[in-house]
Amino acid sequence: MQAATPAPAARPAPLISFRDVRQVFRLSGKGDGSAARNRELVALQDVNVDIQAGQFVALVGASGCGKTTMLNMLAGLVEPTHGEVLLDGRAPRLPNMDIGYMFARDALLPWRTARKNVELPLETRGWGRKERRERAEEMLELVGLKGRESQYRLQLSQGMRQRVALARTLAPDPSLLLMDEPFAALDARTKLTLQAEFLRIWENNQNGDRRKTVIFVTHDLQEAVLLADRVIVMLPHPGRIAEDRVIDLPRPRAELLGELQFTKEFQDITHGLFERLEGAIGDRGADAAKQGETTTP
Amino acid sequence: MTTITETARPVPQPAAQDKPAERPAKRPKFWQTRAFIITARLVICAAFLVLWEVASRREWVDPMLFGNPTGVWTAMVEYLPSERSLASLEATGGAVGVSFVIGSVSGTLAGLVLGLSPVVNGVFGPFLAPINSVPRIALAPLFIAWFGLTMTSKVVLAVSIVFFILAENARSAVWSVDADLMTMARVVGLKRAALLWKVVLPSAVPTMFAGLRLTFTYALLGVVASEMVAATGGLGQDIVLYSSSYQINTVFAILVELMVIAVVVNWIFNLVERRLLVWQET
Repeated sequence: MQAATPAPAARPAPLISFRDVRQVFRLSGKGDGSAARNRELVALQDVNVDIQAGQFVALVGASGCGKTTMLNMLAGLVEPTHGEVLLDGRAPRLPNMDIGYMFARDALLPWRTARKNVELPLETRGWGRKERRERAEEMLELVGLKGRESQYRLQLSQGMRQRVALARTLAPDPSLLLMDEPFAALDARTKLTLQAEFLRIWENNQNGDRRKTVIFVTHDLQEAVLLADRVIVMLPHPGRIAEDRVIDLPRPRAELLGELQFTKEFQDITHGLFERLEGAIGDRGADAAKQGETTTP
Repeated sequence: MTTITETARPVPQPAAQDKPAERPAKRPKFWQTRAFIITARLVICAAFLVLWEVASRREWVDPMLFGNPTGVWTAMVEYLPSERSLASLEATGGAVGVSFVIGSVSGTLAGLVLGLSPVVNGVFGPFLAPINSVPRIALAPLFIAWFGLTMTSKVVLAVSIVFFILAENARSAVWSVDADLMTMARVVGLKRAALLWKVVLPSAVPTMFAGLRLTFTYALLGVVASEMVAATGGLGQDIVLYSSSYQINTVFAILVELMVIAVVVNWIFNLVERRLLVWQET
């Protein structure tokens, strides 16, 4: 292994690499004229990213910029049309027991209690009944749902459902967390609470000697800057990376989230990124939109 | 109704405590009360029976053809406990039970396979709707010719109705499994049997229950219809015999019996459903 790779610097190999990734989705027009047929949507164009293990990376962008597609590639749900995605040196495969994937919608099984939902990923990992139960209860307590173990999805509020989903994602202790707008459906207050709780859990969790790697997809720039070590700004049509920036706000931040938002540092960073994110939509957005969708004869 | 219970959603608390006490719930108007609604039902039933009785006695309608409630009552008391009636009930009930079980199990299994396998559905799917649109009662003479005046003829007819209803039902239940849940399940690592058992089947249960409930009614319909065309016994056969000999009150007695059976079975379904689908209650 070492002989094959010349060592340019004393940098460890990245956990995740996207190399020249291009993703094209074919939209099958359903009987609405010939022009709509065979439309191609370029979801990702020339994406090159390396991510080190233990990093908290936020992917920010409007809908249609391909951020969820990048998560799905890492989960092994989508294969890139061109280029390659490497996770730990290999193409991601489904299922990967070392991944936790949290969705924007809770995706809880409504016929299972909160506890049994958290147990689900432990079942596929071959945990015993008793260990599962104990772990699930421990995780539910960690996300502040002690006493709700035997409630069903319909009996829980939106925020509680996302908490259960978070507990389920964390329960098998995966080293890579894929988070797809996990707090987007929540009201502002619940969102802040859950962000802080998630950050506290993550900052305290030592996976070996480093934290879990987190890829956090969001359309909320504030959230991205607040939580992440590194923010990647993406633009739509075609989905591409516009800016890749390290956020050197102090850690641990979990207890400071409320105040952090009002510091000058935070606002400068956010402002800079905001111009990158929204500015582009003003001038080039319209042309780019046309380029993104091309019609093939 | 105004007691404060532990609810899932955070209830917005009144900001200050010096606010006026909560207004008592508005009293429903008397025609909105449960007592009134139940009374209304009873009155309508009673009025209908009285009208029927009077119309028959005064011969506004021909009592020969329309019977009357007191006559139906007498017929029930005489006919229902009779040996003949019990034998018919056994014949019909047995056939309905057998066809319900055979039809729902085979229909559900077929529907699941169709739902899960695009290939099987591609081959057999298109046949489902055309076959299901044949009026099945029209097949009764065929089945009777093939299987004779046996229970088999009745069961085959009923199953031919039940099977298709449940097959379509189970197929659409599988197709409508939430895509988010399926993605989650795949990422979590559920495969084949585990995926079917832990995600697909449980989410199909509510739809399949709705189908099963319908199925029982149709099994009863199929069996009785088959018996009316030709049979050695059964409630359907009795209906034909008594109506052709103008014993209308006995015919009504049998209809009441069929109705009671259907209502009781439906009630049992409700109980089982409530047990099985606790998670649907908020």
